[in-house]
Amino acid sequence: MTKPKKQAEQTVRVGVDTGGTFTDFIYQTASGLSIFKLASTPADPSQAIINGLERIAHETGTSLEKIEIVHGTTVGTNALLERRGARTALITTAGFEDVLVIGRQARPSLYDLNVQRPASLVPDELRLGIHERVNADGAVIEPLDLEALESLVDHLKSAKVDSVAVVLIFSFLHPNHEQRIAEALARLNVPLSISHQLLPEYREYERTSTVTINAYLQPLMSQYLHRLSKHVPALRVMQSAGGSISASVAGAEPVRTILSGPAGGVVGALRAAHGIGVPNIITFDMGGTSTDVALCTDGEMRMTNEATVAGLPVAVAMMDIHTVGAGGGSIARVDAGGGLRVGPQSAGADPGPACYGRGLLPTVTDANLVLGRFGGAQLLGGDFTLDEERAREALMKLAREMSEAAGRRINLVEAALGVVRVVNAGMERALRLVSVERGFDPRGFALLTFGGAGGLHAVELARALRVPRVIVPQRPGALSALGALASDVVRERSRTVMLGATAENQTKLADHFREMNREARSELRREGFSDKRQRHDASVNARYKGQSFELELKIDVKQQGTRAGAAAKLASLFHQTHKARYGYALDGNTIELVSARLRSIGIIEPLQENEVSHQPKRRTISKNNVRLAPHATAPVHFTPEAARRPSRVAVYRREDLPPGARLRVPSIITEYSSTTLVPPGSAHAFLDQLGNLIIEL
Amino acid sequence: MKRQSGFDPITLEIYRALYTSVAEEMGIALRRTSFSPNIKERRDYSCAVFDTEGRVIAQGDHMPVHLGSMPMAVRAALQKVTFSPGDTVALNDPFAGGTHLPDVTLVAGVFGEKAESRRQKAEGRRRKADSSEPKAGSTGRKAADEQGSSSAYCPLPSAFSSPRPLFYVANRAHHADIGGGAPGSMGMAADIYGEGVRIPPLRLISKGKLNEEVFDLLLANVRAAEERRADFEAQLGSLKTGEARLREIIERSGAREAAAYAGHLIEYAARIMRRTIAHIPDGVYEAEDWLDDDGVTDEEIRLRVRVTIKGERARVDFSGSHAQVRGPVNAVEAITTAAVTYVFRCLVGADDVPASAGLMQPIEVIAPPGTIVNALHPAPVAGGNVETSQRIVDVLFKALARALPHQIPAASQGTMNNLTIGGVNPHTQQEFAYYETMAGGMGARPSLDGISAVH
Repeated sequence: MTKPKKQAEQTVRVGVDTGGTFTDFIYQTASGLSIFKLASTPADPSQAIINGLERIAHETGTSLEKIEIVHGTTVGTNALLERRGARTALITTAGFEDVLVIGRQARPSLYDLNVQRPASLVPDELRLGIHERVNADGAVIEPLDLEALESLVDHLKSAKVDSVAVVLIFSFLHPNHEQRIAEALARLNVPLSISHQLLPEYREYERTSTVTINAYLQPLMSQYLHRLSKHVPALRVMQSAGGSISASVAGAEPVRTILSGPAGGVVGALRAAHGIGVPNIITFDMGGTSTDVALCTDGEMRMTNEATVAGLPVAVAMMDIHTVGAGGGSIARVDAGGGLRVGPQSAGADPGPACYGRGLLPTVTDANLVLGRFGGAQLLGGDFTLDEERAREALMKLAREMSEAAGRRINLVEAALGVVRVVNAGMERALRLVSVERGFDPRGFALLTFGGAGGLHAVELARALRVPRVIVPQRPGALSALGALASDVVRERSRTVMLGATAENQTKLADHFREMNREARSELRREGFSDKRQRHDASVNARYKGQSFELELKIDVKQQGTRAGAAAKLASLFHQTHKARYGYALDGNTIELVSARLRSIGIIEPLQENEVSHQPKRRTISKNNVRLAPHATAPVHFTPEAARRPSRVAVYRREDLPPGARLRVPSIITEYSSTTLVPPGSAHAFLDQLGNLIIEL
Repeated sequence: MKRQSGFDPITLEIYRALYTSVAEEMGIALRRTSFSPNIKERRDYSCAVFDTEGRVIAQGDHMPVHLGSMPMAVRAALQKVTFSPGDTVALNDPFAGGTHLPDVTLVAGVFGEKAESRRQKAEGRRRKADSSEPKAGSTGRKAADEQGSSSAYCPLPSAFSSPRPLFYVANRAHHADIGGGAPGSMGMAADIYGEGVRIPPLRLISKGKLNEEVFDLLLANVRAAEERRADFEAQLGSLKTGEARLREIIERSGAREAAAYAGHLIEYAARIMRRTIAHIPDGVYEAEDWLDDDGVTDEEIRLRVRVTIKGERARVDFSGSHAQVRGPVNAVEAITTAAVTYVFRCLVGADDVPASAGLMQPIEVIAPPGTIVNALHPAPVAGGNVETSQRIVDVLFKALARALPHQIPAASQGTMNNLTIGGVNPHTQQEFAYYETMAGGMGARPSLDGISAVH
């Protein structure tokens, strides 16, 4: 596909993922995909990105203007977590000013006498009501107070706000009042987040929260993207729902980018799984302080509109990614009742795990090191030296505390194994939450692991959950960047419709979808996607009339047949789905269609994958399998009984392994950004023809 | 310390997470499928897991007022009913395990696979043997019979082969109406009979089969019966979820280990509570406070408490509190116990200690019968749960503030601001009943403001 003579003008596509420690780059060249990592620049993340892009421009002989990037960013997430967003005002229907603060009246922690609510994004004096009222049928029962509107705008001007959210009750049924407020606010010249545009759906608190988060992040995000696009005009951003959106949409609707980074990881994982024909996977991305897990069925990610981020509900569609506050840096301790606890406190990057040489806090990484599970390798190709003595010291202290609590002697290895088991229990709980607890049997899935720390825990977790197979894709450390690069362009649309699932209402439903479809098509055309390269997936959220939570049903809006037939089909699909999820169906009850959703996809050109690079050495072939001698062996503790005599375990370097390579069990596979442990009892471990490391249990 | 033989800190932590997640998952299923706003939005429900003796092992962090009172419901169910596989007991009688009538508790036993299949085999045999075989007079004989016939090819230690449930699961939901004089069943009744339908512990589901006649009787006496029916379905679905999860645990680790660690978790919570109490200076701490009135007369209602801390033990004595009253603000003993459990649980702090039976081991509660904190039949009790319970918590904190002045918050609003609406919807001609509460706020803390609008 590459035309060498036009090399200098060739566009280069780059996936960029900004992490806490590293910014990862992956890009397409004539010979395939290349990756590298640079240290992140947290003060201004665009700095590291521009440095990396300059390097790519240099290496590919092109200019920055010719580079297209898809960016997984944490700018929005971090600003939200650290409450560093804009000075934001919120305009609501009079009487609803405090919906944002009252929420659902729940205390965040039931038994904590010193608990605090998550800080509100809008200070009390900037939550302002205006008289107007639309009822639940969309009729105006109190007109908008236009005089008050004028003085409200004056007030906001003198209050020097940077961003404004407008959330009126039932505006999605009658947007006129919000539109007029938006017109009046235009003279403030600040970004506006208008609820009927951003999230035309019911649930007042969740909608208010979502629109407010958007307003809170808007100035920061649009400035950041503006800065970046001055250097790289062709800039797209990974959104939380998977797929990329243009920089202008991301700047206007930053609430859609809150899980930008992790979403890239899931897309990358799905891509790897698709390559080897595995439709059902659970993704496992374990980092230093947190771990993200997600479940994908039939080659697709699962979505939610009920996520909570930084203590606040976010009701726009995003990937159903579950995050637990446990990772390699999680600290182990013995609590007042004598139980061993791991996390959620993390040693972070500073002081970091004891083995980083600064502190003496026993962490998961220290436990892995003491057990020999790194296979004697150093992290990041030797850039990082681990202090094993310190790790032992920290864990000895823990072992003494554990011995005291248990009333018997617990040795170092036992304590370290305990830390691993406990952190695994937390991870297992997270994995169960996205699988078993949602009605999915893990035995039908593969665990796809990536990120720095995942490979050391994945096989043990798979065993606990009875997942039969673990996949470690190529370049596990840059999978999120790859996912961003490989992502299609995606736009989500939704509307609250509130229709009974009757034959008559099928027409109304079809009208909604037709309108949404028309908008979506023209938008994607504007972005350069011909109709052939577009796909539009329709679904409805439905429930039994009277319930408060919906189930999502995929529907085919183009299907032929009668309205009655379509209604009956939808009803039976709902009963089935309810039964599968909750164990029963209420066949006689009325079904209510709450919202119509359309996911529109602009399909990008596929990436050109390169062959797996390898420099095989000392290989012997047997039975079509490549057997090769390990790079080294290392002592590893698997059981406390063998405390004095660790097992000798084969250590392989991933770059040495050709496709088809069959590995010994147990073994350790080391690579630049990750280490994988194949514990005893695994049935097979090998590299498939695409270079994925596969472990079967 | 040596006494805790067989206790492994790591396995303990794993079981803590497991049992807690069973209770949490039951709660999620209930919330997502129920119909009453009070259950699905306000989350007025609780789910819990109990060991074979009916001691609570884990409870979801749902409703503090259910915290100490759920065990009494399970105890009452066990006193009345011997559980067979497939049985689900319903109850709401405040004088037999309940709190107030709208709170309906369902309890089911969780049997090992073997007990389940033995039951089926035994049933098959009994059917074949026709009615000539004498009916099993007592459960003891039935058990012996089943055990004997299965042991030939299935040699199990006695603890495994007991036909008794290995665990129980229970959930409690506040239904928007349970009958009585006022829609929402939270009105000014003169006695318990005016407050709605009283359900003594009974089998709503018997060996997997819905007791339809009882269910019809129940639904005939409540408003918006269809919504109630759907809420019951949601409660039953949630129990199934809990049962399935516990079976998985048993299958994975064996009943023996699962049961042993249920016991260890209870001990663990007791240890934590003893440590917590040991940190309170020894002494006697007294406080009193009042409810404005009972809605019938203007007389103030005194709540009095005397907390005695001695080493690792606490005694909470409510002697001297007002006699039970005519208005519906009487609290039954379960409520008072729940309030005490909640207060002491708060002293433990933010750590996620399992809400197991162990928490109350070192605490003795004295609630004299016939008083506002331990009302006897036939007192009306609807408001004891939502009003008096709040004041019991306040008065207890007030007493403890003398011992722990830097830790205890000021009194909260002291009410839940109950709102009930009911009648016939003019558009649909259908009956409806609606109940919710509006949060007041939490009192100021020694070094922090209070919180507005939280329950």
